[in-house]
Amino acid sequence: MAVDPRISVTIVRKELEDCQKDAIRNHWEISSIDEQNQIFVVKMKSPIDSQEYIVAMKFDNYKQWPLFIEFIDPATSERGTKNSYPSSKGKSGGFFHGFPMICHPCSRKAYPPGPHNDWTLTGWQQNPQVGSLTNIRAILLAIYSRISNEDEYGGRMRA
Amino acid sequence: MGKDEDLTINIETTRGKWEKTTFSKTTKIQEVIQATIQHFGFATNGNYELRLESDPNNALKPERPLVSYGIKDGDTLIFTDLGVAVWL
Repeated sequence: MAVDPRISVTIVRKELEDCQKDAIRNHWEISSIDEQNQIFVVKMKSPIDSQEYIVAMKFDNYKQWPLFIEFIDPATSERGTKNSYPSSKGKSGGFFHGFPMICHPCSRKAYPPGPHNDWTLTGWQQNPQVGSLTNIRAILLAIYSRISNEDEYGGRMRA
Repeated sequence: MGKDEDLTINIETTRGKWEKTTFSKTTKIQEVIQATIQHFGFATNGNYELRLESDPNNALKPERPLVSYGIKDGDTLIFTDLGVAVWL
């Protein structure tokens, strides 16, 4: 059953309020919420190489479904290209996957028709691999930590 | 305040703040991460890091002791779950 869009907006608004301290600390730029299209955008910059990343989070059916997380190329405004994504390296190297997508249960793009046909949207928060990435603050912190950790960040993903 | 060889710090996580917790100055960052995992019930198979609130762009190296970063009583560390890498 679909989630009433007003409920999703209320949840997102609360979770974004929880991000305000992190946004100031880490220089994130969080857009206003586009209630009609159920999306918001966060801009953040890697302190390692000054690359800017634009993260679009579509929240229709949130939190019954996870967010549809997509990156936007800051130079061309293209969505979902490899150039729009950061790349991973190190011990947890598959998070920014070359599909391209965030390969994690918090990311709807990874579910069918994406590559993870072993996952189901409903109950995503109980996926044993989700860890604590079940809210917007935790997801944004994970993304930012990865692009600002020299052991994990491999620069911009290239096509 | 603890003993001279101890540090009393705060650890902020997405599951709440662990206030005024005490570690030996020689405790390694990895041991502080493990203690935080246990305190808040984070998954033991996760991938985590700590940063100083006053220096949010630099992850603390797991093998280094707290004292090597000049951490003082009352400082706050930010604990982050990097998310488990899920391989296809």
